[in-house]
Order: sequence, then structure tokens, then C-alpha cells
Amino acid sequence: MIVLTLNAALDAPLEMSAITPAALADLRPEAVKRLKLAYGRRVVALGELFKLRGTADTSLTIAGITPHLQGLGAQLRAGTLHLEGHCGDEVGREMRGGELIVHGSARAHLGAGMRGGLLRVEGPAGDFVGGGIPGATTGMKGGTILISRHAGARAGDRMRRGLIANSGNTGAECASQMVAGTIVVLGIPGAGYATGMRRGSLLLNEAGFEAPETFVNTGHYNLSFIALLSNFLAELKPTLRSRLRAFSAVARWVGDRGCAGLGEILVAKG
Amino acid sequence: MKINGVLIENTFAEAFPMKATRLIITALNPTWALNSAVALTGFATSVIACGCEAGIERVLKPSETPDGRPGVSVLLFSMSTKELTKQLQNRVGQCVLTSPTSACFAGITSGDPLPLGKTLRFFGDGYQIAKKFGAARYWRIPVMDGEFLCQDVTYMTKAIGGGNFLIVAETQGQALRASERAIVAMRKVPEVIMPFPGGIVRSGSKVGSKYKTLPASTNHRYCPTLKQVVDSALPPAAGAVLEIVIDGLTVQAIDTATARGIRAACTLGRRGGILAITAGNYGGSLGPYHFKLHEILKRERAR
Repeated sequence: MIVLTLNAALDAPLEMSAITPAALADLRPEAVKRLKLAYGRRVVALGELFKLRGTADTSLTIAGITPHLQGLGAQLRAGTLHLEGHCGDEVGREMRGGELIVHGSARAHLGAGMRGGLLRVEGPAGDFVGGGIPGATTGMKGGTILISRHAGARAGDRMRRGLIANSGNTGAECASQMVAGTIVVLGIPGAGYATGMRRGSLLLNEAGFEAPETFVNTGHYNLSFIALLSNFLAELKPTLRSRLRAFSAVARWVGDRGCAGLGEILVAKG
Repeated sequence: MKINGVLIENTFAEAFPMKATRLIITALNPTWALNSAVALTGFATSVIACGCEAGIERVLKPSETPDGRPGVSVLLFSMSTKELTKQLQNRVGQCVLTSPTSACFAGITSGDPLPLGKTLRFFGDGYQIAKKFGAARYWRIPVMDGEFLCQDVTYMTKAIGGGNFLIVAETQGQALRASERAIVAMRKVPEVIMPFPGGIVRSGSKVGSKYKTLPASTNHRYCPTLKQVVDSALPPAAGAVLEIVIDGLTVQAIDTATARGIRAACTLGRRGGILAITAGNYGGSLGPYHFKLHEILKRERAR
């Protein structure tokens, strides 16, 4: 595994989208150091800003990250990318595959336009987790995002496919205008969740649930797919299994009827 | 070769390539999983007239199923991808979707995909919901007892159909008893089914008939009532013959099932009225898989 450690104080954005495990896999350390990066208005060699150790394989760690580093994990397709530090916006933008692990925090638009792969954040994440890239009409279209702590406002905004599981709380308007996919919030959701929801599933704990006025209660159910969801998430993060047990029985609310939506909020009753 | 005084003829079963898939059917309790599986595998004894050959592979514990409920594993075999696809849709649509509390999953995870929920979802009339966890996609179809959960696709694998052996006995009762023992032993072998009623067939067939419209007709050489009339393959003491047909996902699985079945059938022994074990073939020119009884039994003993 190659470990790149930032050893310079940055005063301008540094574009990192080209630095992926696959891009470095066949390069010798000298060649990695010679890679060109856009740093503000300049182009610099990677070796000028990063200390490098290890040899290339399918795994890459970038340490000492600051919010100046941009495009981390963008369009990642394979391999494992570890990010250590406090990341800026759009980490994992349009990610297609592989695994991206943020050992720290991430700002807004985490996993924007994501289409596949697994994105884990061990710290808090900013607004618009799994939303769209700027100008896009839909949010993420595939893949899985796991957040261990707080997520900001409008997580899963216009989400089209995929899965977001948040062990902590979310900010306001989670699942806003959601089109499809699945969002699990095990903490307390902020106000205005599922506004404009058309399809998809939002799983909430009973604590903190207050039925939106434009959703209708369709009753209590034991839904088989929740066992599959639980198994899938428990494989990625075993501690989630016990917390998902509460969803063995759910109250199903359908909406947002304000926009003729058929989305569902599944409230844990087990 | 003899086992317990029963003659094992030095012959072979001739089998054919087939296409197969495995489904896992789950339900609220084992009874309803089984009800659904029994319906799905009904009228599926032979591709000659049923479109496919199907059977229950085994009953699954909740810990072995994708949704943690009691389940049943079934295997379906057909001669072509097209026919297998058709049979799958018709049978799952009419026998699993309709069965209370059921859910249906792929039991094979690689190979060529065959549509399952992908086509059945349209029963949801627009209210169906897709869920994708990792690489697997599922469909939630609203039905009157809640939801029918069905995996988007199952996968097809190359398989073998038509492994067989025949039990020649003095009486019908003895042949049946030996066959029942064989089936009990063979049902413990994974990756095989014995598609006929109770796993046993009494109307072994040959290719063709004196009637032009029939593709198959009774295997007259093994009919005891015709012993003195035709070029019978039976010894004078034979009063009944029963056949066990085996479809399997691998040659190894059919080998194992054949060996265990023959040994179990022979536990009654010559004193129990079992005269011989033989196998059905067409001279070796039609099917590419030849299951040679002596070699299989020797191999299985060595294992």
C-alpha cells in the first residue's frame, strides 16, 4: 500500500481527482512523485507536497488531508482509498466502484452523483450527502454510503438509487425530493424529512419520528426485505445488526401525497 | 460385481447436458415454504411433456436463507435457456407469488442471468418497489397479505439430466422397498433431484414408438409381463423393475447420488428379493455423459 502524507501547508486548492489506487497501481515510487497536480494556478509535482512511503497495490492512503484537497476519490472505480484528515467538498464525487474510507470528516456533497462502490465516513459529514453534482437533476444513482456520526441537511436529496445508512443524526430535510433508493437514519432526523419524496424508502427510529402531514399511515408490517438490508449492512458494519433489529416490525407511512408521491417512511416498531 | 448378493451389471447410464437453476423459497414457517415449493415443482417429472424437470433439493434452516426465514431449495432443469426462462416465470408466477408469505431468491450466484422478479414485478401494476443491496436487486411486489419479495434475476448453470439406475426385483413390493431406501439416501446428496413421483419411475421409456406421433414409449425390454414375448433384458425371476432418474448440477453430484442410491437399494440384498441393478442407455451414442456403475461404486468406496 502506498501512503501519501501531505507535508506542506496549502494556501490554494489542490486537485486530487487523478490520484486513485488504480492510477498508481503500476507506477514506481519515483514515477508517483513526478505526477503533476493542479495546485491553485500552478502545476506541481506530487513529490513536492507529499511524503511517499510503501509500494503500489490496490490500496492507497492519503494522510494529513485538509479541505484544500479537492476531488478526492472522484470517479473512483476500483481499489481501496483511505483518506485521513478533514476532507473538503465532493469527496467520492461520481464514484463508480471500489471502497473509499474517510477516517475523519467530510464537508458537503459527499458522494455527489455516486453510481457504485462503498463510501464510509467515520466522522461527521456535511450537507447533501448522496445528492447530485452541481447542475444535475438527480442525486446518487447507486452504491452505498455509511456514515458513523452526524450528517448535514438534505441527505439523499433527489436520490435516484443506492443506499445511505447513517448511524447518527441527520440535519433538516433528509430525503428531500427523493426519487428512489434507501436511506436509514438510526439517530434523530432533522425537521422536514421526506419533503417532496416521490419514491424510495426512509427508515427511521420511533424516537424523534413525527408523522409528516402529507404522509398516510398504511399500517404495521413485517417486511422481508428489511432482513436483507440488515444482513447487507451488518456485513459492512457488524454493530448495525443489533440496531436494525428494531425494524423487524415497522409502521409504514406513504407519501409525500402533496406531490402524489409513493415513497415510504418505515418507522421501527420491533 | 455384487453387493449383498445383488448383481451390479457392468453397464452405464447415459445422460445429457441440460440448463439448470436453483431457487430458494422462503415463508413464514416451514409448512408454507414447502407448500410453495411442492406447487412449483409439480408436474415437472420429464422434459418430454412438462417443459422442465424440477424437484426439491432440500429443506433449509432459517440461518441458511437470505431473509432468515424457513426455506426450501429447489432445482429446475430444462433443455434450453428459452424453455427454462419460460418455465421459471410461469411456475414462480403461479406457484410462489401466489403462496401466502412467500419470498423467492436466486440459489446460484453466478452464470447467465435468468429473469425472475425482473418480469414478475409487472404484477405490481406500478406499485412495485426495487431495492438494490450491493450487487443484488430485489423487487417488492404488493400483494394481499403484504409484499412478495423476489430477487431480480436468478442464474443459470450447465447441468446434467438423465442419470439413472434400475432396480430389478422379484416382486413389486421388494422393488418399491429398495427404491424407497435408495431415495432416502440420495436425498441427502446436494445438487441433485430425482424428479419423478417420490423420486421413483415405473414407466421407463425408450426413444420412439410404433406410433409415429409418440417421441417415447414403454421400455418393453424391462417390462416383466413381456418377458417371454420380446427380447427381454430381465432374468427369469424378475417380477418388477423400478428406475430412479437423477438430474444434477455436476457429474460429481450424480456420481455420489448414484453410488449411495445403489448401495442403499442393495441393503435388502438378494435374500430380500433384489436381483440386479442396471442402468438405462442408448448404446452410448446419444448422451455425452456416461455414468459407469462399476467405476462409480469403486470411486465412491475409495473416497
